[in-house]
Amino acid sequence: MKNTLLSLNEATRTVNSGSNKVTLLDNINLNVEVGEFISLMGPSGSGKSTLLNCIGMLDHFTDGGYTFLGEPVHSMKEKNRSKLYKEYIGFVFQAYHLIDELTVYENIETPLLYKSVKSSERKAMVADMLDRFNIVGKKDLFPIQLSGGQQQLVGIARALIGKPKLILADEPTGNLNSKQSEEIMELFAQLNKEGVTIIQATHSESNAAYGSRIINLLDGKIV
Amino acid sequence: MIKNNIKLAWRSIRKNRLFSMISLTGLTLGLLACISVVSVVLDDFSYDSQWSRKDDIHRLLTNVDMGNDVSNKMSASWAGLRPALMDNFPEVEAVTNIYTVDRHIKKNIEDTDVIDLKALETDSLIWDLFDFKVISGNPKQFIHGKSNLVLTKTLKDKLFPDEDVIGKIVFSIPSFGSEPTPFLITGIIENIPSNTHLRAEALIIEKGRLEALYKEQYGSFTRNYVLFKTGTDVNKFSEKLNTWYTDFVGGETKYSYEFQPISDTYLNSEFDNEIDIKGNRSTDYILLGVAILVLFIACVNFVNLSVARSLTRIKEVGVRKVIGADRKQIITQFLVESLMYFVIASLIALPTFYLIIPFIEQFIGHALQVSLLSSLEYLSLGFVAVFIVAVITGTYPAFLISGFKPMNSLKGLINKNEIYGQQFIQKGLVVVQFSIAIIVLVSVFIVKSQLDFINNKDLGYDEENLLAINPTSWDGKGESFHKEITNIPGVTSASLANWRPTFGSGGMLKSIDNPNNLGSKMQVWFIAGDVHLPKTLGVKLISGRLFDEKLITDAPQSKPIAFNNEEKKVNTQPSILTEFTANALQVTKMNTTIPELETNPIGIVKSFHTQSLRYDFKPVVIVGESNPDYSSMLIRVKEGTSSEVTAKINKIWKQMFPNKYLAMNWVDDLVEKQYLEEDRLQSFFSFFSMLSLLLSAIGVFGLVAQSTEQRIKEIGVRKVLGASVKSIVVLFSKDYVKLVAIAIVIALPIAWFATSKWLQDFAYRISVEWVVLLLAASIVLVIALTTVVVQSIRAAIRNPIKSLRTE
Repeated sequence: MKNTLLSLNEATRTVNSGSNKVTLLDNINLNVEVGEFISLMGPSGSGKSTLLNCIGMLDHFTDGGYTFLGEPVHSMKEKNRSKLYKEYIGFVFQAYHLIDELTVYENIETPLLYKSVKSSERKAMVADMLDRFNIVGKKDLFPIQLSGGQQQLVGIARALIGKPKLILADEPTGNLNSKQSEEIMELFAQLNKEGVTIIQATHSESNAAYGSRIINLLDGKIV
Repeated sequence: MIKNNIKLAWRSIRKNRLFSMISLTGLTLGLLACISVVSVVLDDFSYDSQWSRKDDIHRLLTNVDMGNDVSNKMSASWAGLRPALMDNFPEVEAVTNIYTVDRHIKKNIEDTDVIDLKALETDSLIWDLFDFKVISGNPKQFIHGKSNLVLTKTLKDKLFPDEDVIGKIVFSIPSFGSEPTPFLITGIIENIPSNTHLRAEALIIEKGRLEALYKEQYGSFTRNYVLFKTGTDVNKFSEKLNTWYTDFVGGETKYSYEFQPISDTYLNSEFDNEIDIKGNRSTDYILLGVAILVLFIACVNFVNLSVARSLTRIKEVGVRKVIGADRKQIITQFLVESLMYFVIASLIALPTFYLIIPFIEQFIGHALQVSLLSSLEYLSLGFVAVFIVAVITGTYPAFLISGFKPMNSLKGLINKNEIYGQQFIQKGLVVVQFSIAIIVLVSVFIVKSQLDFINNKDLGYDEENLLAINPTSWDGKGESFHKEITNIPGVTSASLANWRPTFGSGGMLKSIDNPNNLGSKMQVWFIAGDVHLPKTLGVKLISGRLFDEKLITDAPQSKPIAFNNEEKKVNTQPSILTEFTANALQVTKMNTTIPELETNPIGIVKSFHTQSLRYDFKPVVIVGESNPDYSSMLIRVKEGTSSEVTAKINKIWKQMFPNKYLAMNWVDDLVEKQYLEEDRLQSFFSFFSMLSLLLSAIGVFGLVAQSTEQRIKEIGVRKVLGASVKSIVVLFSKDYVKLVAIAIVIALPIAWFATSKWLQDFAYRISVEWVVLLLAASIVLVIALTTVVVQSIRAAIRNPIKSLRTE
C-alpha cells in the first residue's frame, strides 16, 4: 500500500535578478511516497538545492502547488509552514552546520529544547541517539575537535532527534573522503530501511545508487 | 531552556574576550557612576524625612516687603512670635528656637586645649519636635541655672571615652563674649543623622528666650520651628497667622510669614546665606543627568558592539532556525545574553560602590546616610531599573539578528537593506555618543575657565595676605588690641570694622528713594570701620580722599548713623563711596551732603566685590567709626610673614582675652569658600568627562576591531592588489572622521547653549568662546582618530597571505 508524503504540482520558483526574471525551478511535478530514498542529481546550478530548500519550506515556490501530508503548503501562512517543517522534516548539510559553541551532546539536544521536551525525556532521547551513532565518548567535545565524518554523524543525529518523517540532505558527503562518505551513505540506507523518507542532492553516482529512485535535474527541469 | 540560555551566554561572554571586556568595563563604570550619583541624590532628597512628626514640623520664614515688589525672604522671624503662636493658636503644639552654632569647649577651665564642636543651640521644646534617642541621662528634664549640654554618642566617645560624664561641667570659650560659659552635661543621645539640615554633634539647651511680640514691630529675630497638631492645614494656618499679625500690629506691616515643611528646608534654602548645610536641586539634576549620559554611552557601546558582532553569528542563528527555533526563542537567547552582561556588571559595580563610599563621602563632605544599598526597596528598584535598561539595550540587537531569513544566513547572504538600517543606527549611535562626550568636555572647560576667572578677577580690594577676625566684643580693649597688632613686624595695617569680605555687602542697610528711578526704593549698605579700613582693605582711590587719622570727625566715636527716625539729628558724617554707589546716587561733587543718607562723601574708591561674583555690585557707603564695642578686625600682613604674624596675634590675643576664642580666617580662604559648590562641580565634570571620553573611545575601538576583523579578507585582497597601508587606514578612518564631524556640528550649539545658561547664574562671567568649543571638538576628534588609526594600522600591516589563508 502506497502512502503519499508530498506532491509537487507544476511547482515553479523564479527570482528577480536585476531586471531579469530567472527561473530556478520550472514546472516540477513530483510525488514522494513514504519510505522512498530519492537522489537528486544534476550539474551545479541545475536547481537541486533550491528544490530541497523549497520542499524543506525554508524557501517557497513562487507558483504551482505543494502538498505535504495532505496539507496545501503553498497556501499556508508562514507560521503554520514553519510549524510543519519543524515537526516533520530534518536537515543535513554539506557543511554540517553544527553550532560551534555547543558540545556534541548539546548540539543534538537543541532541537528538543526548542520543542520544549521535558528534561528527563530529553536526556533519554539524546542518550539513545549517542548510543546508536556510537559517539557516547565524544558527547562533551566541541565540533572543532571532531573529524568531518564525525561532525556529519552529529549533524544526522541532530536531524533525527526530532523523529522526522523526511530527511533532506544537501550534498551530505560533499566535504568527506570516500571512506567517510560510504559510512554516511550506509547509515542513510539503514535509516531508510527503518522507515525514514530521504531526499538527497548529490553529484556522486555511487551515492545516488543508495537511493531507490534517481531524479535528474537540468536548468530547473526534471529530465 | 533558561538554564541553557544562561550557559550559552556565559560561553559566549568567555569566548569573545575583547568584546566582553569592552562591554563589561563600560557597563560597570556606567552603572557605578549611576549608583554613586543616585545615592548622593537620594541622600540629598532624604533630608529631614526621618523625623516621626516630619509632616507637622515647619520652619517659620519671614518675607520682608522691600517695596518695588521686591521682598526678602529670611529663615529668621520675631522671637516674640513663639509665645504668640503658642498662646493664641490651638493648632500649634510647640515652637522651639534652633541655631546651628560653632562652640569651643574646654574640659576644665584651666585647660589650654580647646575642642571645636558643632551644636544646636535651642530650648527644651526641641524634644517635642524631633525624636532624638536618649542613651543615658535625663536630658529632657532641663536643669536650671546653667546651659545644658547633650552630647551625641560619637562626640562622647571622642571626648570622654571611658567616663561617666552626666553631671560634669565643661566650659564654652566664646568668640564674642568675654567670659567662659559653664555647660552642664545632662545626657547622651544617639548620633543625629547626617541627612538633616540640623546636622550637629551636640545640643545646647538654654532656658529659652521669653520675648514678647511688640506691636511696634521691633525686637530680636530668631529661628522658629513650629510643631503643628497632626492634620493642620498649614497653608490655611499661615493665612490665619498673617491676618492675625496684621491686626495685632494695627493694620500695616511689611512682614508676612510662611511655613516651610522641614523636609523642604535642605533643598530650598538658597535665600538663606547664613546656613551652610543646604543642598541645590539643580546641581543634583545636573549630576544625575551626567551620570545617566555616561551609562547611556556605555549602553551604546554595548548595542553597537553586539550588533557588529551579531553579524558573525548569523550562521548560528540560521542553523538554530532550521533545527526548529522560532524567532521568539532566538530573541530570548540574545536577551538573556544581554542580561548576563548587566548582571555581571552590576555584581562588580555594587561591591565597588561599597568600597568607594568613603571617597564619595569625602567628596560631598559628609556621611552618606542614604544610599542605593541602604534599603531593600531602593536596591530592588535599582535592580528593576537595571533590568529595564538591559532589556531596552538588548532588544535591538536581538531583534536585528533574529530577523534574518534562515536560508540566507546559512549562505552568508544578508539583505542589503537590513545591513543598511543596521549601519545607519550604529552610526547614529556613535554620533550621539560623541556628541555627549563633546558636550561634557565643553562643560569642563567652561566651568574651569569660569572658576579661574573668578579666582583671578580683581575684586577691587586685595584679598591676599589679609586676615579677618570674626566679630567679637572688645570689652573696651579694641583700640589697645589694635595698637598691639599694628606693632607686630609684618603687619602693615589693621582695622576695626563691622564688615568682613564675603559676609554680605555691609553691616547695616538703609532703604532710600532711588534717584535714578523716582518712586522706587534703593537699598544702600553701610560699612563702618576705623580710619585704617580703606588702606587695610587695599581699595583704590579714584577721587577725593580717604579717611584722615588726624581728623577726629572722620571717625567719630558715636554711633555713626541714626537709624531710628525719632533720634534723627543733623549728622553729616564723612563717608567714602564706591564708584558704583556714586553713580547710583548721582554723586559728582565731594563734600556735598546726601540728606537721605545723612552723610557727606569725601572720596570715591573703585568698586569692590563685597560678595560672591554671582551677584552684581550693591551700593555701599563706608563710614568712619572709632573704638567700636563690637566689631571684626582686618589685618594686612606682609607677604611671607604669615606664620610669624598669626603666632604673634595668637599670643597677644591670649594675653588680652584669655577666656575668649580667637576665630580668624584668611580672606582669600573665605573668598574661595564661596565657590565650593562650583569647585565640586568642576571636579565632578572633569571626572565624568574623562569617563565619557574613555568609554566613547573604547566603543569606537571595539567597532573598528570588529570591522577590521570582518573585512580582513578584503584588506588582504586590497594589499595583494597593491594598496598601501596608508590607503587602508584612510579607508577605515574616513567613516569615523565623518561621524565625529557630525557629532561636533550637533554638540557645539547644545554645549554653547547649556554652558551659557549655567553662566547666567553669575553676574560676572566669561563668555563662551569659540576657541573653547573648537578645542573640545578637536580633542574628541584626535582621540577618536587615534583609536581608529591605531586599530586599522594593526590590521593593515598584517601579512596578506595570512589573512587570506584564514578563510
